[in-house]
Amino acid sequence: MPRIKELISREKGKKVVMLGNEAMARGALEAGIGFASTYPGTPASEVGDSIAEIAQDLPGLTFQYSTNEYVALENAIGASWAGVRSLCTMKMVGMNVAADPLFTLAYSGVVGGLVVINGGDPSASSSTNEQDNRYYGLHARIPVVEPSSTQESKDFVVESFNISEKYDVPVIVNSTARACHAVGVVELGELKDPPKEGYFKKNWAKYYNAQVLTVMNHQKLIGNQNKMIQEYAPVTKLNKILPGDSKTGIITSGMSYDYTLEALNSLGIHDVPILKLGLVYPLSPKQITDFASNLDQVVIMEELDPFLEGEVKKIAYDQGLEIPIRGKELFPSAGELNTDIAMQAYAKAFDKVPPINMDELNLKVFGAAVILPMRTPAMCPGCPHRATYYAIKKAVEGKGYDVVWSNDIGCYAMGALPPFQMGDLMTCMSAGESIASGMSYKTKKQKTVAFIGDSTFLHTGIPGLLNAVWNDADLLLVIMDNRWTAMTGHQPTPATGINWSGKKAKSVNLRDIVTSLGVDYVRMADPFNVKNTIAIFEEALKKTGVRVVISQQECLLETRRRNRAAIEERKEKGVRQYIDVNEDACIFCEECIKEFGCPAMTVTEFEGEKVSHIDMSRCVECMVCKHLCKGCAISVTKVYPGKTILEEKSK
Amino acid sequence: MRKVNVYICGVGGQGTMTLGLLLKQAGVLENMVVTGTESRGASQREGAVDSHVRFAVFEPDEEFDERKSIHSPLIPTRQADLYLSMELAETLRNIKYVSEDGTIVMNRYEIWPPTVRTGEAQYPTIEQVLENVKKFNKNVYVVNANKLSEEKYGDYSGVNMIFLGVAMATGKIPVKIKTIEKIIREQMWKPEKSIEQFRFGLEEGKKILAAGPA
Repeated sequence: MPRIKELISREKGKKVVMLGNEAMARGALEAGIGFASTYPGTPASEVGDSIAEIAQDLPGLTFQYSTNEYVALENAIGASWAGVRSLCTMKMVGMNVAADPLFTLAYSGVVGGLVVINGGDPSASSSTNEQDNRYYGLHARIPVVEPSSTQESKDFVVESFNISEKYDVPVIVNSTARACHAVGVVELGELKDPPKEGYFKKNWAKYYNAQVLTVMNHQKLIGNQNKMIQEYAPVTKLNKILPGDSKTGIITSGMSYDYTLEALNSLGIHDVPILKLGLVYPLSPKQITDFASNLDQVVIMEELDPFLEGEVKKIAYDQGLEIPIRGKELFPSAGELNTDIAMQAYAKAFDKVPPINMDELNLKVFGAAVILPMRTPAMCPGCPHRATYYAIKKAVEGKGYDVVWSNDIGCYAMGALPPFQMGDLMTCMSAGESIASGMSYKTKKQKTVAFIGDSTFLHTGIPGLLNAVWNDADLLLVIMDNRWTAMTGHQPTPATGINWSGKKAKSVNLRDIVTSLGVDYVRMADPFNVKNTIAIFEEALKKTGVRVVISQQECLLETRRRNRAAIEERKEKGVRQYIDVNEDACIFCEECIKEFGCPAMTVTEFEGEKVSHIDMSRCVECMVCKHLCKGCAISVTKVYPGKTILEEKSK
Repeated sequence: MRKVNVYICGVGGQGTMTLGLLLKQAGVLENMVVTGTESRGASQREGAVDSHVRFAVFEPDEEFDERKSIHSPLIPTRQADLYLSMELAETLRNIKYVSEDGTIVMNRYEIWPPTVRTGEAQYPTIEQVLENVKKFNKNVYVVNANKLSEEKYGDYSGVNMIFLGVAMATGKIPVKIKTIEKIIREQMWKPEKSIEQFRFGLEEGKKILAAGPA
C-alpha cells in the first residue's frame, strides 16, 4: 500500500492514518536514527518491516533483519557507540534473548541514543507467555516508556531518544499488542535525515566492563537514574494529569488509560483526578506524593503484573502516605484488559451500577454462539508444512511407535491442531529440539521427534543441534524449511538469498550447516513429493542417534505473491487451470479431507453420494491432493482460449 | 461530538483488515478523530479475524474534551453501530459488540473450519444463525457478495469492494461516498476496477436495504 510512504513524508503537521508500529517507526525517523535492527515477532514486526520499506529512500539509514534479538541489540549498540542514534525492535520474549547485552549496555550507556521497542502480548494471542517487560526496566535500571495512542507511539519514541542521550542510558518503549496494532491518526513532526557517518571515540573505562570499571559504571548508572528521578521524572511531558475534585484518584498508563476514560464516561464519572504515566519507570516520588496528598484512595489500573502498584506502594511507604492503594484487588493480572473490564472494576471502586450486566450478557452470548463451530487458525491451502506433517504421519502409521512430538515457534506450530496433532509441547524459540534431546536420554521406549522452522533454526537452533550431536542424543529433527520467516509477515532469513531490501544477498545452505555440526544422517525432502517424503521419514524413524530431515519447499503465499502479475496476466488472456475431483472415481475415503485437511477441500453430493470437491477460490494448486488420492480421482484441466486439455491423473 | 463504531469480522484472508484501513483513512480525510485495530499475526491464517473502526465526528467549532472522546482501539460491548460480517457463521462470534439500535450486514458465504470439514462439528444453517443473531438485534440485512462477484466478474475478486458498497448503503458509516472513492483510488491495487465494484455493491446494497431486514 502506498500508505507506507507516509513514513518518510516531509509534510510536517500532516495527519495520516498509521498503525501503532508504523507510528513508532516514524518516531525513530523523526529522531534521526541512522541504524535500525530487528528480529521479527508479533506484535512488533511492522516496526522493522515498515523501516525496511523506506530505508532505501533515506541515505545514511542502515537497516537489518538480524539473525536473532541479541545479535540485533549488539548491532544497535555498535552503531550507538559510533555516535549514531539506533533503534532495536523485538517482541517481548525477544528481550529475554537480548537480555545478556542489555544489562551491561546499561552500565556502559550510549553515545547516539538507543531505544529498544518491546511489543508486549497480554492475552498471548501470538506468544507462549504474557511476560511483563516493565520489569526489565526495574531489573536493569533502564527507563521504560509506554504510549497509549498512535500519536503517542510516535511522539514518545522521539522523546525516548532524547532521554537516552541526556541520561546516558538505553530506553525501553513498551508497547502492548493492542497499541502496536491500533490504527489511528498521527500528526507528523519534522523528518530528520540520518547522519552521514559515525565515529567510535575510544573510552576504555566506559566500554570495557571488568572488575573495578564495572562497579564504577554501575555507580554511574545509579547516579544517572537518581538525577533522572530528581530533575526529569517530575516534569516530563510523557506524564499528564487530568485534574478533578473527587477524593479517589486514578493512576494508569498505556492502553489502560484509554479504557479508564471510556469506562468512567460510560459510568457518568467526570470528576476523578487521573495521573496518566507515559514514563512508567522510574517514577517520581514527588509527582506521586503531590498527586495523592489530598486523596482518600488511589486506584491503579494496569495490564498484567502489579508493576506500578508495587512502585507506587514503595513510594507511599517512604513518603508516609497512609491511604488505600487498590490495584490488582480490582483488576485481573492475567489476560488483556478492555473497557468492559474497566467498567466493572470502576463501578465497584466508585459504588456505581454498570450500564451492562456482563454476566447476563456473556451467558446470552454463550447461548447464542453454541451453534458456532470452533475456528482455530490453520495452515493455508498449499502450505508445505501440511504436506510434511502428512508424510510423517503416514510414515508412523501402523508401526506401533510411541512418538513425542516436540514443536516450536512458527506457522508449523499449527501442526499441533487436528488433523495432525503433532505438537505435544511448545516453549520458546528453538527450545523444542533441546527439550526433545534432553528427554531422549530418559525415554528409551519413545521416539523423540522435533520440528523447527528454517528461521527459528537459524535464530538460536544451531547450538542446540550441536549439543545434541556432541552429547549423543537420540533425536529426529525435522527442519521445516519454507525459505521465509512466514508467520510474522514473510521476512527473509539468512537462507532466503535476499536481504531486507529484496536485493540478492549471500545465503547459507542449511544442509551444509547441519553437516558441519557433525550430523551424519541428513536427508533432503520435497514435501510436495509425497511418496518420497514418506519413504525418507520411514527410514529416518528406524535409525537412532541424531538425524536431520530438511523438508524444503517455499511458502506458497510467497511464491504466488512473487508471481502475482504473471498469474493475473494468464487469467486475463483466458488461460486457466482447474483441479477437479472426478466424481465417478471419488470413493469418498476422505483422505484429502480428514487425513490431509486441506482447507480448499470440501464435500459435495453427486448422484446422491457424498464426494470430495475442490473449492477453486481457495486452491493454490500445490497438487499434493493429486498424489495422495486413493481413487486417482483428481484431474487437472488446462483451458486455453479455444482449447481445453485434460491431463489424466497420474499416480 | 458523535461517536460511530463499525465492527467488521470474517475469516483470515477475506480482507477485513483492508476494509478497516480504508474506512479509517476516509475518516481522517473528513477531519474526524479515528481509532481502531485489526487482527494481525497468528490469527490471520484461516482463523477468526476482526477490525474495529471508531469515528469521533465533531461539530464545526466544537472543543475537544479528552474525558468524553473515543480512545480505546476496541469497541466496547454493545456499542457497534454497524456490525459487518463477511462470513455467515462468524456473524455470531462477537455479536456482543452490536448495539441495540445498530445495523447488521451479513455476507451469506460459508468458510468451513477444519472441524466441520472432518465432520466433527456442524456448520449452522442460515436460519439458525439469523435466529440467534436476532436475539441481539433484529435489524439484519443479508447479502451474498461472493455470489454477486462470481456472477459479475467470474471470480471472488470483487467481494471486498461489493461488501464495502453494501455497508455504505446502510448510511451508518459517517463518511461521504466521494471520500471512500478517493481512498480506494489512492490505496487499491486496481483502482478503477475497485471503484466499479464498489458502485455495484452500493446499488445492490440499496436494493437490499429497500427490501427491509431479513
